[in-house]
Amino acid sequence: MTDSTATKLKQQLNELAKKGTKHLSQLRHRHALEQGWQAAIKSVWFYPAILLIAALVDVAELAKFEQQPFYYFGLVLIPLLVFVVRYFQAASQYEIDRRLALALYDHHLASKDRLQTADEFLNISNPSSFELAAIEDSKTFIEKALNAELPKKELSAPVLTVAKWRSLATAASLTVLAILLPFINLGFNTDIAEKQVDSTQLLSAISTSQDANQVESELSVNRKASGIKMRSSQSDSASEAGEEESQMKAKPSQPKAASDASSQNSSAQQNQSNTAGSGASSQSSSSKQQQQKKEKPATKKKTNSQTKQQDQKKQKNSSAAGVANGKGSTSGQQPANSDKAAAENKARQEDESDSTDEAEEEEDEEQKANSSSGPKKNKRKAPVDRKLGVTGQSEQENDLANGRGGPGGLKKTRGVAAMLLGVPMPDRLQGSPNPGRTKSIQEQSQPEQQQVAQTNSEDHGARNGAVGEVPEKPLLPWIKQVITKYFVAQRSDETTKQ
Amino acid sequence: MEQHSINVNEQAEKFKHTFTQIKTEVSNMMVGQDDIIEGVLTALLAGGHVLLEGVPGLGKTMLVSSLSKAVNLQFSRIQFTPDMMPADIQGTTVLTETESGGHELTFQEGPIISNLVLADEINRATPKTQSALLEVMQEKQVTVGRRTIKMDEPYCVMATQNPVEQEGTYPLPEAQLDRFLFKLVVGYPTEQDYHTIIDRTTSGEKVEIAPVTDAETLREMRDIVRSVPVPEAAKSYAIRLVMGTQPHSEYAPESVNAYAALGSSPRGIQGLMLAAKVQALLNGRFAVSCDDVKAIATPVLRHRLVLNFHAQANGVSADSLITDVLNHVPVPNTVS
Repeated sequence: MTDSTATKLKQQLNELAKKGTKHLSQLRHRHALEQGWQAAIKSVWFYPAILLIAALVDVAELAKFEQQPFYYFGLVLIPLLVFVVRYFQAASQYEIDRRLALALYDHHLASKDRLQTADEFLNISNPSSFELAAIEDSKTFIEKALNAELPKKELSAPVLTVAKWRSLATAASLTVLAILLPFINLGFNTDIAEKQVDSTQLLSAISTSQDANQVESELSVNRKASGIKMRSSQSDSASEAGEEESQMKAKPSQPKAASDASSQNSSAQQNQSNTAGSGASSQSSSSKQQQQKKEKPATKKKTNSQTKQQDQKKQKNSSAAGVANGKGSTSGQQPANSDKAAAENKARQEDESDSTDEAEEEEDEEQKANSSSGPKKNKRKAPVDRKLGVTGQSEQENDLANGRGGPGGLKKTRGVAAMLLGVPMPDRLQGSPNPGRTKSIQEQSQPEQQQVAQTNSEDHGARNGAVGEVPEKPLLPWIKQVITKYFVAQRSDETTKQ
Repeated sequence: MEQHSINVNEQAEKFKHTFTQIKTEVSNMMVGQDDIIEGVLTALLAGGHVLLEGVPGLGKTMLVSSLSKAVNLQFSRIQFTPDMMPADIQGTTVLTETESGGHELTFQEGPIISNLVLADEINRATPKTQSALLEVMQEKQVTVGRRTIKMDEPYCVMATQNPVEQEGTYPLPEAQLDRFLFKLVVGYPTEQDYHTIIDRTTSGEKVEIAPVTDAETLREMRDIVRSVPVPEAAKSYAIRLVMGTQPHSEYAPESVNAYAALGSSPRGIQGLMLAAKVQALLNGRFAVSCDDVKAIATPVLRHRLVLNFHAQANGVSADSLITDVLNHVPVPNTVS
């Protein structure tokens, strides 16, 4: 290859590199634009969302927003910033150089790296024959590349896809909502305020009426029911039964109490355990509870506290009912009567709390006596089997228990069989077991000179005595000859080497 | 300069012609399996050794024996068995009778000292015996006692192993595997090939393999292969591929990190380059391209990947990992 040919080839490759670089720059610009545009579209709804949140959080401040329209510049500014950042980020990902430009042509012409190879080999000062041949081989492809037009890459997606339109529409709607929300919100809040005022007034008025009493009594029943549900989950099954019994008694009594209170006081006194009615009802109810507790000595302190709460609630109801009864009062005398009733209720509550404390103490003593006398019957459970679950939780489990023990199905599933690996294992090991990797470390150490104590040679004298029988190997003569020849030959090799 | 170019063209043409001749001759005996024949020839011309893996009856042994006849090389076959000792392969000193009636110790060369060695069922021998091949495969010499014997070029070990019958076998250690340039997996023939096999082997027709080249020509061809230059892009790509097989390296895909215990060694890149040079010459080019490297990556790298337990449990093969590496590693100077 002559120098002129090499120079010509270099010029041609330079031209190709320029064209390729230009093309790649365009591609990079388009790619960056695309990326930036996508990121900007995605970020469009961000600022409107902030505006909307601000509007929701503080309506009064939004009025200022309204007065300061430059706050809405963010609608344009943030997407613009995002676009610029993403553009430069995407553009900086690609570094364009000469090799990349030539590789573009190689790829386009399927020339198997011939242009890159030629460019590389042309810069070698003393190319080998194969390198020269490779340069020669690339000539035709360089010619082709000079005449070839690189395909112009179109934008991979339309400017505005449905998804992009959606985000734009979302942003627009959010902005509109953020702008309009102060007006909508203010009206809504005034309505609420007005409604709140009305409702408080109404409540105070209703609290004095009989209808309100009925409502209150119903509410208290509901509260009780919910309270009992909560307690039932905590208490034992035996105490639950007791509770349910008392509830069964209490439930139908409350609507009765309301109706009785309206009719006559005497009936309320008769239904002492039903709580609502006269002031003496609380005392009578506590005495009846004590009787119930005597009947069921297994009940615990929990139930006592629960009954306490119930009584308190009942007192509340009774106060309401007392107001309703009015003890002969009319609705026109309500404020004075209500004060009186409140004072009476306070006194009753104090008395009742004292009585309930006494009842609790008595009950504890009884419980202690029972526990010392014999085992609690309600604590008796089915014989324990070896299941891993808690025994005696249900009747079904007790039925299954045979008292003989032994692992159940549940335990079997948790046994050794369940611990086996779930991965397929080859039934044979391939080859011999590997003892593992060994690592040998060689440390270089300099030889150290050591002092050796001098020892004087001594004459040990000649050793006397018979050596004994030295057995000779019964070698055949020809073997002796061969061995002699072997060693003689070997020594001769050594001497020649030396 | 022009003269140089003409010479190179001639050399490349001669290389291609000889290659095609050998392939055609071997194909007379070996039906189908073009990829395997090309692989074996590529390894022979690149100066490497080949490990042929396949179930019995696919013609692995016949391929190697046919090749030895076609290239007219000194051929020896070693049937590996569990009781075989290194001395059985390398040779030993034996007592012989002289003409004069005396006796002397002489060195009896083992079958390993040849040009083309067929190590049949290599995994049946113990690691001790397998290790006897290490020196000869890497350094092309055998040391027995105080005697070191240099092998004549071209020297090539072609080993076969059966992947199915693993009982009573000893898998080749990594050091041994790494010394093979290619691991070629021999598959079943196609339907059309079966017809030809029946006609050729069950009739009275006798197929004779004629020698089409010799050791000297093969040596020249090896020199030509080593003369092929490798541009920077192809070098970078080969390096990236080898690094891609090494777990937790820069170019390793997730699958390699998860399933590979060991990746390819630097021997792998030597093998990649030599085999890619042969590919370039066969494709009529004077320099290696990235496509050449890609084409021979699987047979060069598959036996250099050591898979971990997770890979074995999940049925992940070395080939699938190499495919992942090829898909993951970018070709240098490409516009994505």
